[in-house]
Amino acid sequence: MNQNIPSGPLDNMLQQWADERATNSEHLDNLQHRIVMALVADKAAAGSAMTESIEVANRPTNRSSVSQPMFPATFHSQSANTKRASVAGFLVGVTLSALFAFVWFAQSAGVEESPPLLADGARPVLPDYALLNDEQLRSRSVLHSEMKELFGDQLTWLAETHKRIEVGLSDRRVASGTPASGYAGVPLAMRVVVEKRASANHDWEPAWTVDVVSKSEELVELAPAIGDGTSMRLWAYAMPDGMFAVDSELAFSDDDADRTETPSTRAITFHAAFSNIQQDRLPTEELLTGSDGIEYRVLQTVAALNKKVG
Amino acid sequence: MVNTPDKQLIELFRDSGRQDAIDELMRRHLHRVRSTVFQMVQNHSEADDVTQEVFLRAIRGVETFDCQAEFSTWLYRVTMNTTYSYLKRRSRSPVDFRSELQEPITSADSSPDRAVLQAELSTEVEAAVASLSPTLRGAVVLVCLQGFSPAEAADVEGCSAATIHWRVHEGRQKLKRLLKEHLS
Repeated sequence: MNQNIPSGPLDNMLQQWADERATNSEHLDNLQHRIVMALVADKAAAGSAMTESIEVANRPTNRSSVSQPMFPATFHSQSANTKRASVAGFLVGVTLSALFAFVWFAQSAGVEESPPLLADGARPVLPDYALLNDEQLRSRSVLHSEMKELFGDQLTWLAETHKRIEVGLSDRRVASGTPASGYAGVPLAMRVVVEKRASANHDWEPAWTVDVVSKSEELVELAPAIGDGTSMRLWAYAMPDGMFAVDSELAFSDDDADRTETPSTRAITFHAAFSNIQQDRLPTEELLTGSDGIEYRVLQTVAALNKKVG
Repeated sequence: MVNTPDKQLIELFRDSGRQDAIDELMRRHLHRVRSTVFQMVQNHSEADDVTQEVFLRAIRGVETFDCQAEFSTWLYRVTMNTTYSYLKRRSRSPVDFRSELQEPITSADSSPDRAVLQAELSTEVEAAVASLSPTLRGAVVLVCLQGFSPAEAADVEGCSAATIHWRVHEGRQKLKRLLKEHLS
């Protein structure tokens, strides 16, 4: 019978190797976020509507019953090359952020907002920062054109939060074929805003905003990053009738909250998946209660970019 | 939630869909699962992918978990099965999956020469572990690196404790031969 006596020097050497190759808590934190997002996507794809560790209140009336594929085929099968390209793109994007932030903010400054395009007068007026007005769409169009010059057809999306700009690149070539609609191939501008308030007696305050420009039917995947623990997946499809099918998943981490946890134990405030058919520039709203007991509201706006500002 | 036993967390998730129960389970086990997977596949991005697959499989299959058993044993069984499947797929692929450059290993108080030597040693240890067959590697990883007892590892691997003893013994002998210069 073999004796399984610990082999001191060998086991020490193995353990030293394992310790050296061990990943850090930040990496694990990001991995946990990623897995949570995958779980949410898994549930969403399996047909469950939404809500993880959240309570949904006042479910919006604009949730569509139109049957749409929840996510494109690329949702779970993004190639390794694409992922690497995204990482590389992120680094390039960070480098370029100062340059483009200047263009972005210079063009956004002093702009008069378009009036809210709310068809239903009974609905509360949503804040300006949730909307996409003409001038903002124009500035995004400029930014998109600049990035397109840099990356060509590889550019699939770009996203900006108040802390970072990230671009998604693909090694895929643009598929040829008959456009599905007048919007096919037109880049889409999207804005997702998370607001919070302590109770119904308080005003909503913006907690996180992301602006995205992407091709129709392109998966946008925003991973959590240092200082911004929120991750998001977003997919929009321009429908032939001018409406937009938008699927989104959000694992929101309130980085501004007063937390005592270490990064490895930082909790996700809420994660949720939404599926909406929405009108051009008409925001949808979703009300949630986070794991911290605070009320959250997610506002999501989409617009065809060049259609409006070409 | 922090003090809630694993099985109770599973029940919370199964009965009421409590996602925070899954978050807590993941927080408890992610580090060990991920390090086990990395020691098997020896590539960080692949280890992340496989770890994600482990948790997806585990949560999809949580209904099948028998609460009489230990959750950790069940989870590591899923971990090893997923990893073996991955290694099998990888072995059939013409792509060199082990081409990822590992980060250089340095410590603040070590001299550059010492750091280089340490890096070389780690590379050799890694190559030696990689040369083991998946089953021998699995036994060595579980027992020598993850601290499972042979009986626990046998539960995970679905074999007898004697088999684990034998695999660990064989694995160690082979590693000793490959690393004898550094062990003398």
